[in-house]
Amino acid sequence: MKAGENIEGDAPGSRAREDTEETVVYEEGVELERTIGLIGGLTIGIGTMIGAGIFVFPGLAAGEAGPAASLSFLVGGIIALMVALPASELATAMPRSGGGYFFISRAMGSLSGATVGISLWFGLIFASAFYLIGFGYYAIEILLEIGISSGPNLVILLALGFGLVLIILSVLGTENTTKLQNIIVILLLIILSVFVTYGGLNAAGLFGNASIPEQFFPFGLIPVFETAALVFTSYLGFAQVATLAGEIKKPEKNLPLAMVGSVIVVTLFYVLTIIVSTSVFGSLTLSQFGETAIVEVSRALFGPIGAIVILIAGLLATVSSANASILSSSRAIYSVSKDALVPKKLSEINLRFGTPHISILSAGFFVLVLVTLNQVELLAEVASFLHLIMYGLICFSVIFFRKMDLDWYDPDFVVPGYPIIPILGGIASFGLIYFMDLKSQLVGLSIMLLAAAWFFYYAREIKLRGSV
Amino acid sequence: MKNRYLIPIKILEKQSLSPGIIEFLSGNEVVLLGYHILPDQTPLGQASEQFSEEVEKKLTSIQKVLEEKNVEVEKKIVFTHNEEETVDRIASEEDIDGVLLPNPSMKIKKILIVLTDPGEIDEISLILDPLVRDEKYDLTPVYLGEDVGDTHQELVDYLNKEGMEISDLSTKPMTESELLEEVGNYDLIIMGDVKRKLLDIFSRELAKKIADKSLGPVLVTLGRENKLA
Repeated sequence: MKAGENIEGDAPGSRAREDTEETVVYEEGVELERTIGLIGGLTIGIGTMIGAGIFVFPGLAAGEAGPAASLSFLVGGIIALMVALPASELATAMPRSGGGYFFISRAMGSLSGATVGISLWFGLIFASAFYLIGFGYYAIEILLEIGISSGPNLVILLALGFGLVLIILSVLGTENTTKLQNIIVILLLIILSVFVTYGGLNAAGLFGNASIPEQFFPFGLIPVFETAALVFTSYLGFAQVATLAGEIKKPEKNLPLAMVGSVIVVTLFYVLTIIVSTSVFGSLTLSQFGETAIVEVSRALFGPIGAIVILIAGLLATVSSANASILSSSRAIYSVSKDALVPKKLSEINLRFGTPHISILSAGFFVLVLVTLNQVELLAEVASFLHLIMYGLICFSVIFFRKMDLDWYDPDFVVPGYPIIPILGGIASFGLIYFMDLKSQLVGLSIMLLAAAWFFYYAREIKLRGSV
Repeated sequence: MKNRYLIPIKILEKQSLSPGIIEFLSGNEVVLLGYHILPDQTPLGQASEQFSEEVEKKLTSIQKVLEEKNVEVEKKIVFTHNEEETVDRIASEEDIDGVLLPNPSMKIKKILIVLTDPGEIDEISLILDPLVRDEKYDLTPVYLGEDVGDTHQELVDYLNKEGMEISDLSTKPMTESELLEEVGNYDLIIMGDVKRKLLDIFSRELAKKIADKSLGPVLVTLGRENKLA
C-alpha cells in the first residue's frame, strides 16, 4: 500500500472547484445542477424522520415510561436539535455532498471517517429493516380491518415482499420519487395535525372526555431516558439533508433552515402525538396495543374512519422512511468510495437505469436478512446507536475545525452558543447510547470495530484530515 | 450577422447532430450542452466522475464536425435531476438567440415559422435575418391562435421586403391541432418564446409537442437581450 492510496491503488477523487447558488462546478466545463429548494430540503428531512418512529413507538414507549414518554420524545428532539445546529455550520462550510462522514473525516482523520462512514451505511440498513417491519405491522392491521385473518409469520413476509419491491424500484430508478415523497409528507402532516388538534382538545376535556388521570412518571426518570434512546430512531434523517448539500440551491441559507426546521417540526408533532395518545388511553392499555397502538387511539377519537386513516398514514410513513433510508445508504457508500475507503465499484452507476445498482442491491440484501430477525427494538436501537456515534462526532468536529484554523473553513451559518451547544450535543448523543439495551450496544460496537478493521486492511494509508 | 444557438444534447442517450442540422448551423455560433438526466436518488457527483470523460469525448467529436463547417463552438457539460431547469438556466446564462432541439434531419429546406404572439415578430426576424439572406430556404409563416391582428401580415411584409419568395403561404390563423398536422411536412420549425412566465410554459410544451409530432428539429427563439436593446 502506497501513501495516499488504498490496497487497490486508488486515491481519493478530486473535489469540486467552486460552488454557485445554482450549481457545483467541477473541472473545465462540467457542472452539477442544484435542483432541490428549501421545501424539497424540508420534506427530505421530515420525510425521512416522520416514518415508522411515531407510528410504531407510542405503545412501546408508553409501556416503558408511562405518560412521560412524551418527555422521552422531547429529549430526543432536543438532542437532534443540538446536533442539527453544528451540522448546519459544517454543511454551510462544506456545501457539497458528503454529510456527516465528510465532516468527521476532514476534522478527525480517515480512521474516524471510515469507521463512521461504513457504520452509517449499516445504520441505514438497520433503520430500513426496522421501517419495513413497521410496514409489515401496519399492512397486517389493514388486512385485519378488511376481514382477512393473518398467519403467524405474515408480518415478516409482508415486510420482505415489500422490501423487495422497494429495492427493485430503487434500482430501476423510478422517476418522480421526490414529488411522491413530498405528497406523502404533506399528507402525513395534515393527518397528524388533525389528530393532535382534535385529540388535544379532547384531552383537555372540551368534549366531555377528560383524560384519564395518571401519574406522569410511573416508573421514575431513568426509563424516560431509556425510552428516549429507543425512540431516537424517529429522529434519524435530518442529517441526510447535509449529504444532499451539493444538490440544494442556495445551500448557505437552505441547508440550516431545512435541517433545523425539520427537527423542530417533527419534535412538535411527536410530543403532541404522545400526549394525545397517553391521554386517550392509560399507558398500560396503550402498551398492550403494541406496534399499532396509535391506530386504537385514533379509533377511540374518530371511530373506524380514524383507524383506517391512521393505518394508511402508517403505511405511507413506513414506506417513505424505508425508501429514504435505502436511498441514503447509496449516498453513504458513495461518499466513502469517493475517498477510496471502500472499492469504487460499489458506488458505480448503471447507465441504463441511472442508479447506483451495486450499492442498492448490497444494502438491500442486508436489509432483507435483518428483516427476518423480526427484532423491532434491536433494529431500531442499533440504527440509532450507529447514527448517534456520527452525530456526537459531528458536534466535536465543529470544535476541531475551528481549532485547525483552515483558510477554507468559512461557514455562512455559525452555531449559536459555541462551544457549549456542540459540547452538550456531543455528550448527549453519546449519553443516549448509554441508556440502550446491552445487546444493541454490543451489536453497534461490533459493527464499528469491523468498520475500523476494514480501514486498517484496505485503506490505512489514506489521509483525509484537513483536506477539502 | 451570426446567430448563437443553444443545442441541448442528451449525449449519453446516443443523441447527436444530423447532417441537415450541421449544414443549417454553418457559419453560426453554438453552445453545445451535453447533459445527462439522473433519477433523484442518484448522487450527481458520482455520475460526473463516471461519465464526464465520455461526454466530453462525444461532445468534442461533434465540435470537430461543426468547426469544419465554420461554426464557433462552446461546450458545456451538466449532470442534472431536472432537464428543464438546466436548459432554462444555461439559456439565460449564455447570451443566445434560440434553443435548437436537435431532432434528426437530413436536409433543411422547408421551414415553418410559428407565431403565437405579436411580440415575437422582432425576435423571430432577428433569427430570420441570416436565413433570409441565404436564399436557400422556403419560409412559411403561420399564426397560431384566434386573432391574427397584424402580426401575420407584418411577417409577410418583412419577408417580402427582404426579397424572399414565400411559398405556400397560410392566410388564416391555425389551431394547435391543425398546426400539429402540418408540422410533419417541414424540415425545421421555428417558434417564438416570449419571456412571459405563462407563455414560457406554453411554448415549451408546444415546442415539445411539435418536436414529437414533426420528428424534425425545432428552434425556439429567445431574442438576445443586447440585440433587442
